[in-house]
Amino acid sequence: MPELPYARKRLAGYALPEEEGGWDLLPELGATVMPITREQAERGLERVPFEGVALAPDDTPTTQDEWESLGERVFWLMPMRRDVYLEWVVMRPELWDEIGLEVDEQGALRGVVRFEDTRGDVRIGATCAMCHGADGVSGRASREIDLGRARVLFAELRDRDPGPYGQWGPGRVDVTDDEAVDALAIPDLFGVKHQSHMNTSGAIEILNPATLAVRFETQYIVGHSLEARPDRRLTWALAAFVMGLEEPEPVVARSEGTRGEDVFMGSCAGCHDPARGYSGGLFPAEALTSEPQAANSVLRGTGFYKAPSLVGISQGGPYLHDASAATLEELLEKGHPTGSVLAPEQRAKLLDYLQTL
Amino acid sequence: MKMTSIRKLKTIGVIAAMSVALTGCIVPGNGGESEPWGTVEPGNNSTANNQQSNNQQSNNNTSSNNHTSSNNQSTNNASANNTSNTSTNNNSSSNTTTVEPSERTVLRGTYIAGHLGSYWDCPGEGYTGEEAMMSDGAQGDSLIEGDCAEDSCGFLNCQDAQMTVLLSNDGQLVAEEIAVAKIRLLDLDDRELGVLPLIGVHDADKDEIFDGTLAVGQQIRLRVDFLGPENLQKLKDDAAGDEDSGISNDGDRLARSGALIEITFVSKNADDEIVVSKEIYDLPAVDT
Repeated sequence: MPELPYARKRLAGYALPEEEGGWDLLPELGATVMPITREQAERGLERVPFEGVALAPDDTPTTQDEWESLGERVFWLMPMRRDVYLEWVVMRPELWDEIGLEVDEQGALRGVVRFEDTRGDVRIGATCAMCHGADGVSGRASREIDLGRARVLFAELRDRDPGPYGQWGPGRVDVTDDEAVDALAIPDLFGVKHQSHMNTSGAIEILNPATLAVRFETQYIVGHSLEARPDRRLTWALAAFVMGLEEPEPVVARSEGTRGEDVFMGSCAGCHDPARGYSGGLFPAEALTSEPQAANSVLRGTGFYKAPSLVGISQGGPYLHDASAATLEELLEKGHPTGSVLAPEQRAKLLDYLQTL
Repeated sequence: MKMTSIRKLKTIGVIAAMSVALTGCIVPGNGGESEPWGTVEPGNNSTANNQQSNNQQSNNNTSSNNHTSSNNQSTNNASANNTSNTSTNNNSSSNTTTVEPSERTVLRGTYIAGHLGSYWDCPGEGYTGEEAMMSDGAQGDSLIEGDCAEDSCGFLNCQDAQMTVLLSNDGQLVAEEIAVAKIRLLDLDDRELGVLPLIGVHDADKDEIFDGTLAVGQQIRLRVDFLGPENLQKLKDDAAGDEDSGISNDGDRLARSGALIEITFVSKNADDEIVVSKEIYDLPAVDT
């Protein structure tokens, strides 16, 4: 059994031998979902009949394309968790902009759906896309969503201490229940297929797509108060989709001999391997000049950070695990141990190269 | 639209269950609803012996107001049946026949999942170990319809504890009048931290109240809702007393933040079946 509390909390009850029971035996929640529009919310969701559509297909996919297609639907529509504070916000469309919730072209909330839970109650749940589907792009982290602000508003309403949530800020969440305040930037999901670890601190080693599927399944079970598990086909499809996420087009097209490539290959490629989507393994947290607290979290901390993929880095910041660098220039000047020791001319060349990733 | 009527459902269920558990019959004024799992008078068991005095005391204290104490609620059925044929609560005569060993079946329970609830938004509603009366608990975790005018009306960021169990009848007879007799909260060293009040038992697949019967070979997933600890760490500290808990920092505390739940099922015609959880925890506030 893992010693890391974060992992132990999930794996102590997961995939046990049949005679020991565990989460595999939970009732399967039929993922029947319904999008939420601003018009509905303004009218009052309690007045809008629930007419959910099942996510699970009648026929199990048989090809990679079919799996990924199903996974894309799951990414946008399957509720991975439900939270009371979020339900409260969603039912108040006047707060949506303040919280950074997005609305798509059809007027529906991105990444938030209604669904029926195991008790037969209609709830509101967040999908992957709420945090990782900014601007309608699968995998793009939201820089605007401010779940800490939502929690503060909810706490104040109840005349409760809002705690540290106000310190999160847009695009950052603290996903550990320890006492440390260490909100992390919501990451892009591009390049996951190249990465060896999940979580900023590398708490989960990615061995194959099944790792992601297990991660999503345990995330879902905890997010649904340990009362239900998902249709396993859906989490497998989600894993296939996330593993296959393609990076967006770079800001600047790369060609042979792109300015700065030599700097990158000489100074950066040791950790950000081009053959691995410009990602790498783990390195000691102290190597970064930014806050190492998350790497030392009692729940998820490993003492290390992972070298993240740089795919899509040209699309915009903020950068570093704690979003402490607003721009690439700032990142290289202050936050990154390699960038900060480069000569100004080399740094300028490297910035040009990074625009091509 | 059925928009999260958890609180209402639970309230009805709790009142009905407590009424039956307290008196062995349906209390007038509760709409005549009964919880079948709460009406059984199971056979001899040690749990009953251990809990009888508490149970009776609680009955006296609470039978007039549809509330129950922690011990009473979970043990009433068993204690009422300690004498096999002698009802202490004016129970139905249908439950007063001694069941011979040859007429007994075999229950087998398997832990599935569970949590200890969250009482962040409901201070005073979790189990503290000092309750003389059973609380209704947090009763649901969201969007509770209410008739108040405040903007916050109906939103509670709290949830009662629950444990899902797979219960099987492995014997050759229909198992009858199955009930939850006791829910114990244990620390990771198996030290008892409290006996938690039962709120309800449901068929987890149908979200229907469990009727207390299992056919031969039948399996059922039961969701047992109960009052969780308001402050688990405090209960642990109290139980440890002056002993060295071995916890010296935040890391140690979080690494040992869980507890165990032990649920005792009783039946009219089966031996007690005790199901112990794996290490389980409070519902996380932000953990994903």
